[in-house]
This record gives sequence, structure tokens and C-alpha cells, in this order.
Amino acid sequence: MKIVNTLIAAALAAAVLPAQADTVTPVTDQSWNQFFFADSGSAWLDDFAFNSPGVQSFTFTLSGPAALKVADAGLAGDVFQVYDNGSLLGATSQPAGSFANDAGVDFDAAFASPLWSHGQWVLGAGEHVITGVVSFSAAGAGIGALQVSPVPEPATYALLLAGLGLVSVVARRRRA
Amino acid sequence: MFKQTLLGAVLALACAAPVYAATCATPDPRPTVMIGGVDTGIANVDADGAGAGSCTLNDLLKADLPNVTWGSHAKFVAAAKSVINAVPADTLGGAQRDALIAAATASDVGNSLAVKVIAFNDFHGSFDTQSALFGVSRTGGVANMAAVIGQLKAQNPNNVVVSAGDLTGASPLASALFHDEGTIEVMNRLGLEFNAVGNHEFDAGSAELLRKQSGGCATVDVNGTPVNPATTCQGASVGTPVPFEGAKFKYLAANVFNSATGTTLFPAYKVKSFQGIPVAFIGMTLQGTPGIVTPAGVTGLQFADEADTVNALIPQLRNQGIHSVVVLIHQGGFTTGGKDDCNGLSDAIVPLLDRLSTEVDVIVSGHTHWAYNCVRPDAQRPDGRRLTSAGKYAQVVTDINLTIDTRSRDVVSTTATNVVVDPSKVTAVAGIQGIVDGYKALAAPIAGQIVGYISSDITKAQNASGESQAGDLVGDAFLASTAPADKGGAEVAFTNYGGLRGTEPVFAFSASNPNNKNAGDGKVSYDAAFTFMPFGNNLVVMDLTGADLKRALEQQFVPSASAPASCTAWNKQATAGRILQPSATLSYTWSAGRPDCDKVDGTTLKVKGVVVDPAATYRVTVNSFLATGGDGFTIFNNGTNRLGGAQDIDAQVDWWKANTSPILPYTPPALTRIIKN
Repeated sequence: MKIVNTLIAAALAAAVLPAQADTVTPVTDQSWNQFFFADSGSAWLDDFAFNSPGVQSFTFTLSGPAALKVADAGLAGDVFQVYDNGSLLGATSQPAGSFANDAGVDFDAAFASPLWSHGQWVLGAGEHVITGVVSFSAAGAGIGALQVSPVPEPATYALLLAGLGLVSVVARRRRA
Repeated sequence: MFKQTLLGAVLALACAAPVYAATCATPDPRPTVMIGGVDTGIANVDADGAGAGSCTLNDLLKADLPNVTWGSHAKFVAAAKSVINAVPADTLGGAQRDALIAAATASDVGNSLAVKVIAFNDFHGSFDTQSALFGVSRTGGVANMAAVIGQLKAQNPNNVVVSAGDLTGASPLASALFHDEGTIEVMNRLGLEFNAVGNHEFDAGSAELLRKQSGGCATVDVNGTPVNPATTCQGASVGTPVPFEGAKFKYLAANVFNSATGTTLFPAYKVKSFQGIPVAFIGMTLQGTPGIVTPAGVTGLQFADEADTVNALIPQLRNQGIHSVVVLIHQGGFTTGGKDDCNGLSDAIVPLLDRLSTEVDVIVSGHTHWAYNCVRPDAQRPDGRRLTSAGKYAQVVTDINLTIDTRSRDVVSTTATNVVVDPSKVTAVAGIQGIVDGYKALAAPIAGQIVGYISSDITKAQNASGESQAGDLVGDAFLASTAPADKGGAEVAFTNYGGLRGTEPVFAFSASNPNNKNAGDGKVSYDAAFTFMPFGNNLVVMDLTGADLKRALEQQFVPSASAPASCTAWNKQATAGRILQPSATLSYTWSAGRPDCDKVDGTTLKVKGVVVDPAATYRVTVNSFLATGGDGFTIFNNGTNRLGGAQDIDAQVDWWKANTSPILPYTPPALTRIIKN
């Protein structure tokens, strides 16, 4: 995957690197990237509520398709609307859970469970600016995260499947 | 701000890759690599193989416990691999490399994080050193406190400095004369980050408090009177920015709401993250604040229940992945033990703790000017949680160490010590002392004036009846100021005991006592008089019926549980020991054994030697705090024909000048105004 960064983000990243180098990870490295939010209707924020946060946006350029995953964490109940380049991608799922369910910051667990609101979309090649709004904020503030991971391309499929025994044999027969 | 980019990662790697070439001024001298307290037995080699002056493996691994570097075990292991793999192969063999990585992986490093909370409360603008406390002969001094805080901060980079209210207000002259701007400036420079509002933050009103946060010059006081421009924005004389810079720290006010908007006056909480692990600091004052500050100071504000406020915020904190919660509360208790226990803890904090959410890990309290520190079980947390208070006036700083599980993000254990600020053990921070000296020089022409003379120390200690030397003095001064017919024609005067400020003795005979303010043996300076009476209350003369005069005195006593409704309907006193300090013209006898709302024997209650007639009218002087029902003395709200008088400090100074001289110094009379049977 080739990722080009916005100049300003890079400059800011460079400015803070000496102190925070161990916390910097690229948005598309399949790690979870946190965002915060306040009351219902609030945009995704770059810091905890009451810490004078700014609006959080995630900017990156993809050379091929990638999967965007968004998950609520902490207490269950929050729901997001997710935007790409200002256009609505959609809303995350209706959560089955409530305040009784606390995922902490285990975003993998939250994404995998129907208790927490989550969503997944496929992004095409090109530049993306992902933003969000919390359409229902159960506690008045919270945390969520998104993850961008590449959708394997055909050549990658072949490599993956080559090592998978019977499945790979079937696959090769069909290709032949 | 989004900073997680590939270029960022590349830069991070660029920074991370050559770490082995870093130089360490004092390389770790240990012969072997230590990981999480375990000796690996592998030589602690220069990490780049370049010899002396380079960093060793121990320097770069940062694998000691308690961990102050790593926000997770995974981050530690990843960094350790990077360091270990960067060592030249001829310096560290493959087997050793594997063994070190295995040791790092198996270790506990990064599973918990050490965070230091440095706390104090009730600073009250205390620039100067104070008298003895906890066996230390001279204590405090803000520049000394700053030095102690600096030492504590150096022990752990994951630190935060917090205050539990009453930073300003009821402060000595050098701070108070300049609207406590100097206090804000020195707090900015000693690294304070969060201050919960206390009752005294409201002494000068919410508009002034907002100015203290945001900066700019004072224009009008809490009563709308224009302020003297020479008392604000004096930075040019003390080495600070002009206009006044405002607080760099954040005021917190979770339970103080603007009545019109429903929003809190300041943020309810702030979150500080340490190596990515968040800790929330919720700040608040006591709900009873409006009952103990001048009403003009809290106009338009509502104060909510403390525990309910905290508990309502907990879901929001948990929803943000925050499980380490520190409450900074300007409410406290009293203990019967030493500075590092909570033996015999009593008073308002106790029922509050029993209602606080289990998520609260540390309570930094204040208000009572008492020092205590313990892990204390309560109804919600039978396992206990940390409760601290650091006394007052920069005499004590609480050093609190949190151990936070980086997986659960929760505080799993704490240790804490109340450190007495001992000027003989530290070097005062020069930059802060310079600001203090600047303000003292500005105030000196006023502060140094000798206003009175004394033959011995004067104390505010109450006898069994509740009377005190200092209280008698104030009662007499208030009466003298308002007795002339054209000043109100007062017959009797009172002050509230809590209005007598300063440490004992409140007036010190000996120049060697700091409370003498270097006035000289037997002399009383304006500085000392102001320290004793710093609130700037005005006197109020009012008509009160004899019946109401007695009822006001009954409001000194908390009704018992069996008190009839006819008593509790008007006597809602909740705090014991609030004996009004009267002028010499009033006397009475009271007994705890008498019925509720009749503790005072009416046949003994006399004004100017004559038994009080319930139907007659008396001219009574109190300060503006009592005049509006402060401290539960709501009967004074019934006063009519009100006449405003001098400021309390001016009345006191006038009294000193009129009644004392070098050849006739003041000798306190015997305490005979109040008799307890």
C-alpha cells in the first residue's frame, strides 16, 4: 500500500515526534486509531471531552481498495455517522448493549460484538478524509476508533491460497 | 490533531533507528542487563559498541520497575527488540540476543505504570514561611514549596500538580492587595495544572474568578466598586507579563452551575494522559459554599451535591476508556492522629466518601486545613481508597504515587506521604521568590505600618464557653467603629469565629515569631492585622429585636435529633462550635443541658448590663458575611434599618490606634463575656 500524507499532518507529526515517537503509528497499518466525542451531535474529537479538543479527521491516500472499520468502545450505546470526503458513508450498527457493557479500549472485542455499535465500508483508491459525528452519545462523552486495512488484491489472494492445502488445490483447478 | 501518518512513522523510525548511537552523560553502571528487576546475567554492554560515553543496554531498554516509560508491555517488548537487534553482532551474540528478548517478553515491564500526583490545598496566597508544624520549627514559603514540588517531579516524569481549592482569597496582604494576581503567577511557575474551586475562590465573585483564569486587569470589585489601578497588573514591578497573564492551570468546577445556562462555571474535569494512559481529575467545592461566602460572590450560581456530581460523571469517564479517577474536592475532615493517617476521621467528608462511585481511586480533600493521608475503607470500597489532605498555607505537600494497570487502565495501588515543607532542607526557587519579593516590596509601605501595641501574644483559642481573646478584640473593634450615633449607634457587635484568620498566635509579641511580621517586639503591623482579617467584609448595623438577638445566639448550637419542629424550623445550624464572638457589651450564660433552641439562659442575657427584653429593639453590628445569614446565622436576615459601615480591617486598625500605644500596650481582658454551665 502506498500512502501519501497531507503536508500539514506530516509537519505536525514531525513537530511532536521527539516526545511522542513511540505513539505514532500510520493510520493504515491495521492498528486502531482513537477518536473522542462529546454529546449527541458532536463531531469526532482529537482529545477527551473538556480537554479543549479540536475536530478529529483522518486523512490518507490509498493506491488500492481498503476496508474501513469503525467501532464504539467503552460503554456500549453510542452510534456514529461516518463521512468520507464530506459524503455520508453510513451509520454504524444499532448496538444491542448498554451501560452494563464496558469494552474499555479493546476495540477488536467491541468491533466483533453486536453489543457495541460498529460498521465497515470499502474505500477505493485515492485520497480520503474520514470524519464522523456521534448521532447518539449515551453518556455525553466517549471513545471510539477506526482501522484501515488493505483489501487483498488478486495476486495476494493467489499467494495466500497457495499455502492452504485442499482449498488452494481447488482454487488452482478453477483457475486452470 | 491527527498525527498518525506514514511519514510520521518513517520519521519515528528515523528517530528510533539510531538510538544505539545516543550518548548518555552518566551511563548505567550496572555490570549486567536488568529487566524488570531480574538479573539476566548478560553483560550491560555499550549499545553501539563504541565504548565509554555511549548508552548501555540498560540505559536504552528502560526496563526497571516501577515502570515510568512504557504505556503497555507490548510497547516495551517492541522497543526492547529494536534496541537489542541494533547492537552490533560482535558485541552481543545471537544466543545472548535471544535470551534478552525472551527475558523482555517474559517480564512484567509495561504491565503497570507509575504516576505521581503532587497535591496541596488551602494555599490562601501564603507567600511566606509559617510557624511550626509536625516537629518542623519553621515551615512553608511558596518558593520552598516550589522546590519540594520540583524534587518530587524529578522522581517521575509521569507527574501532575493539583490543588483542592482555596488557592486565593483570605490571603495575606502581599497577595490580597493585588487581587491575588501574584498567587496565580507563582502557581503558574511551580507547575500547578488543575485547581478545584473552593469557597474562597468565590470571595471576589465569579466574574473575578473567570478573570483569574483568563487574565487581564481588574476593573471593579465584587460590589461593583472600581478598583484602584495601582492594585492590578503590576507585573512590570515583579517581573511578570502585563497585563496579568491569568492562570496557566485549569480551574475545575464540576458542581458549580450557572443558573441561567445550566453549564458549569469551569470544566467538570480534565484528563491527563501518561504514556497514553488517561487519568481524570474531577474538581469541585463543597455544596454548602453559598452558606459560607458573601452572597454577592455566588450570585447566579448553583452548587450541586458533591457525590451525586462525581457519580454522574463516571459513565462518561468509563465511556472514554478512563478508569483512573482522582477527585479534587474542597471539603474535608478532622482526624485525631498524625499527618499520615486518618485516625478518628470525622466531619463532612465521611458520609460523602460512603457515597462515591467505586471508580474513584483517590480523593484529594481540603477546606478543614487539616493534614491526613491514608487508604481508607468506606461503604463503596471496602478495600479502601486513598484519601489525602495537605493542611494549609504551603506547609505540607502530598506526594501520591499511583500504580496503574496499563491493561485495565485502573489504579491498582497507591502510596502517599505528606511532606512537610522545611525551608532548611531545600533551596527556594529563585524565580518564584523574586515575584514574591516584588509584591512584598509593592505592599511594604502599607504592610509595615505599625498600627498597635501588645504586651503578650494574642490567641484565638476558644475557652470552654467558646470565647477567645482575638474574638473579644474584634467584637470591641466592630462596636467602637459603629457605636457613634452618626455611624449607626450600635450597642452590641459580633463576628463569626471562622472569620478570625491566621495561625497561632494570631498576634505574636516576639519579633522572632513569623506572625510578628518583623514588626518588632510588642508591635502590631498592618500586615499582621490584615492577615488576621483578610476578607474585606463591610460592617452592617441593624435593628434586631431582643427575641431575635437571643435566637441568633441559639443558632450557635446544632439542634439535637429530638428537637421539636418549632426549633428546627428556624435553627438549621449543622456545624458545632460556631460561637459568635461578642463585644464587651454583651454577656450570657449557656448550658449544653438546656433544651434545644433554649441553650442560652434568657435571664442572664444582658446588653450593657441590662437583661435583654424580647420585645425591645437593639442596634446590632455584624460583618456583611453574618448580615446575610452566613455560617447558618439566618436570624440576622431579619435585621431592619440597616446601615453600612467601614471595612472590617479599617475598623480593626482604627481600634488598635485608638486603644493602644507603646506605653499602654493591649493586654487581653479575662474571658468573662460568655459563661458555660
